[in-house]
Amino acid sequence: MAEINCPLCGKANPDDFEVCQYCQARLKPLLAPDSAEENSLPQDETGVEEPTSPAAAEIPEWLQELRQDEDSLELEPERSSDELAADISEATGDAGSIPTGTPDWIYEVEQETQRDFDHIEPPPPSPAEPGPEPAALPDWLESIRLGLHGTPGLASSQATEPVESTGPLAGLRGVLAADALISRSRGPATRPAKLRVSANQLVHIDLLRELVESEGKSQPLPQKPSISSEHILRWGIALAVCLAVVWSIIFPGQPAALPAFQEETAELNRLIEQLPDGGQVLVAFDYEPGEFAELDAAASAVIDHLMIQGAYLTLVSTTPLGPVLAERFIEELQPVHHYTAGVQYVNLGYIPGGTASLVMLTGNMPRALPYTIEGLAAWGSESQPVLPPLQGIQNVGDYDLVMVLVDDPDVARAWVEQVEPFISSSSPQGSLGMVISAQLEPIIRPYYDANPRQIHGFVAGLRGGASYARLNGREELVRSYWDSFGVGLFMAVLLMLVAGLMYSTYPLLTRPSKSDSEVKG
Amino acid sequence: MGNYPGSLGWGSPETGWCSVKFPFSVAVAIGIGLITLAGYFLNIPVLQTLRMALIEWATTLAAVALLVGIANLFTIHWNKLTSGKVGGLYSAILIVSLVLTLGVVGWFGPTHTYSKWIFNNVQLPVEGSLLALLAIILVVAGVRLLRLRSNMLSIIFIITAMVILLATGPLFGISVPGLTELRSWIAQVPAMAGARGLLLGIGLGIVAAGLRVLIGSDRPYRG
Amino acid sequence: MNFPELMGLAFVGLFLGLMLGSAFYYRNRPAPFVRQIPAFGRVRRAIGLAVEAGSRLHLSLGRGNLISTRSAVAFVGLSILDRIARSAAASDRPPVATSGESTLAILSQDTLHDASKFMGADYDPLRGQLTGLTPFSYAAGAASLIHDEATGASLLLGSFGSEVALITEAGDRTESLTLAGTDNLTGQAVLYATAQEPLIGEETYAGGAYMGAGGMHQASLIAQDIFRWVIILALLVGAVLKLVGVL
Repeated sequence: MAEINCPLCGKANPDDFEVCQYCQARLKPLLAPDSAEENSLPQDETGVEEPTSPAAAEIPEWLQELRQDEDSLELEPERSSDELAADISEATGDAGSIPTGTPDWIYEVEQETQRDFDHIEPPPPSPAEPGPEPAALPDWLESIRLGLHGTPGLASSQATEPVESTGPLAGLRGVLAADALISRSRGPATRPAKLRVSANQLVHIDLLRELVESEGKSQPLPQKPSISSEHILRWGIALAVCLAVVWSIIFPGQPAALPAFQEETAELNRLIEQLPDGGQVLVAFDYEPGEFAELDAAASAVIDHLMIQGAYLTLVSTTPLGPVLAERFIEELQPVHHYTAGVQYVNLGYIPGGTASLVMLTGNMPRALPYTIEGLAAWGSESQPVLPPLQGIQNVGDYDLVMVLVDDPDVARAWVEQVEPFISSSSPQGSLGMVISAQLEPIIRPYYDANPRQIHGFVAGLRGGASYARLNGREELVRSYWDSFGVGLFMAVLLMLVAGLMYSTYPLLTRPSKSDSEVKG
Repeated sequence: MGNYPGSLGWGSPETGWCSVKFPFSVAVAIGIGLITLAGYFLNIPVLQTLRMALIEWATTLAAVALLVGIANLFTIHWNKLTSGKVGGLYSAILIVSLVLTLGVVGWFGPTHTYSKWIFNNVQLPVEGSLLALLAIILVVAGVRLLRLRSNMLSIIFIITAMVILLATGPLFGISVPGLTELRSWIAQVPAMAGARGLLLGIGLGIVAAGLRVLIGSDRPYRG
Repeated sequence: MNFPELMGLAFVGLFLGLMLGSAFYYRNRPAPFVRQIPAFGRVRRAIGLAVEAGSRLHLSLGRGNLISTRSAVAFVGLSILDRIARSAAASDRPPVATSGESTLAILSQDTLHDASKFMGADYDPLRGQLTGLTPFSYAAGAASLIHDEATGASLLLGSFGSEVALITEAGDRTESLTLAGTDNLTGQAVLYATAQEPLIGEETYAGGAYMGAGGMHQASLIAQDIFRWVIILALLVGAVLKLVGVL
């Protein structure tokens, strides 16, 4: 078998090998297709011809693509440089005076170079002095010159070239003229007049042009829909709950029974029942105006019971608006008892400092809260005796019962932790009771369940107030809330249930089935 | 266990360890804090008296701060009104209401009919409306919770809320057996246990924050 | 001094010792954390995005009275406000703070003023606002501020009750990130359902440590975590002893 030496490593290889078995270098050159085969091959959509040589199959893919690109450059319809320049100037918005076919940066360099040379003036003509004699060449030398440049045309052209008349080269013909070179203006470099651009590049040019044009334009922000699904959801829920409540008020059905009393409610009831005649009770109105509906309804029956027992009430508050709420409560919710300020009850107003100053109630109350809300000296003066509800009172431990109406867990805790230990240690009969917002029940209950109890009885929310009202038969205020309260709660539960089921099952329903995902995969 | 890429130091991150400046205000704050704390634990008459006196000062200052807060509220809305910012109309309403209420209550007293009228017919309805709005918002939040966080905890949260709500109201007079008992159990066992756990954690946080202030590491007051 | 008072004093002393010891030990080395709270990472990112986008950051400090137990969480909020104010001082629209308690409003202004001075930025006193003195008026004021200022992120760190839902709702409507933590149990339940990033339990108190508010924040967090595990163990031991009839 014949052998062929590798052009790279020089080792011998069988001649039918395309590449060297040692260094993988190509042993045979790639053959170009002949014209006949070229004409017979089909063209692809872009007009680019497929490679036709047998060796083409071995050309790497990246190289083939490169060649295709090069071919397409030649095969694409040509656009003149003027057209392209017009495109660019249109895209940049600059219809400047750059010569067509010349990139602007080259043009600028040329202009600068031109300016550099423009200020160089040609040397002044030398004074007319007799030059040297033209060199006389011997015949033999002349014949050699003719032998070297024996072309008649060339000889004739040389004959037209000027003879140097000055300097050390005087008398020689065809000397390069330095000043002429310097002063000659440099025109644009000669380049192909037409730039070949592929369709792909045209697309990119258009894209670039659009980008450049859109750069200076302000883009409008996507408009949010004025009514979104979230709005519909919110309004729908609000309407459903409100309509349900209003419906139950306008068209009341059979009134539902008030709930049975709980142990803690009954315990509070017992504490009030056991109050001595003319017992003194400190009532703290520690809730915010926003919670008045729930706390008024919950506490109504309790305060009513206290008044029935003829208790003297001292009203205080750790919130700035509490004293006003207290006044309102006594005057508007319990008018039947005709309690009079300064006689059956006294409003000592706001305890400055809030819960931090609760500890002051365990010290000297006359000093901490010297005046009533009307500005009277609550603890007596030279002209006025101590008001009846405050007789014999010096601190919070002197009260028969401390009742706190509260909607805030921190405030409730402050009463339990700061005041209750003092009450318990001061008097065995002293007790702390509470009327709380329903949200506080998990926080307050541990104090009731503790041994010994830190809260001796409480009423929690509208439900607790309803059960207390059922105990002492004063159901008016609670009854007005109870049925519509139930309807509202039911509607809320219904909405949450429906939404919960929807959000739980919707992803399962919309999840693509296994067969679908397999097909797509 | 993750690591926080930093080293510890006293004071702010900029000051670093042992480069704390103790101005006079810090010394006063630390001193008063220590006296109050010691007065709480130690049954020494001098400390008790000092502690009570300091608390009285604090309550007086808090009352004064309330006035400063009102002044701040007024200033903010006055500037908003005069600078023509968005919501200037609401600021004008607030300023007029504030001045009017201050005038009426200051002149006639808090228990006068006019003062009560303002409270009963302006303050209470506005606050009550906001609570009603809050109720709607909470129902919306309950409806959207599973979309926001679709996990087991959220499902338990929603189911618990529904049970409590159903058992709290009259439910059209229908008595569902065991529902009231279930509500009581939830309120007294899991809810209470969770609340106690959270309160323990919060208590530790309160101690930590208080001690930081006490040793002058945290200075919400600048001096 | 009776036994509970003695125990209380011992607890405070031990806690303080642990804090100082941790601060000293970890002053030059990375401090270990028992757990990671991803919400704070997202907040840091939100701060960066807000500064880049030129949107406003809002921090609400709640209604914590400084002379009550609520002050602790308010102090945490103020520490984080200080960090945020310094981080976003270069922003076109520096952070704004709202509160529902007058002393807290004054302190928030002081904190913002100090941070601006430190960073050499301008200070506007209106950036520390008292939006209301009752829970609902405060929440309504803060909610309207979120809407008017088109805030990029809202951090609610303070003492909030159920009224916090009004604020988170405003954040939801403006499609801004809402991270919220409170010491109030009712507020926490509400935040779980309404906030995008709720902080549960004592996570709120860890905020300073995770936001880089100072070494002592990290030291106190270490002490908190150690004591947490001590309490858990004590509860378990107590339950077992009760079960076997020893207690």
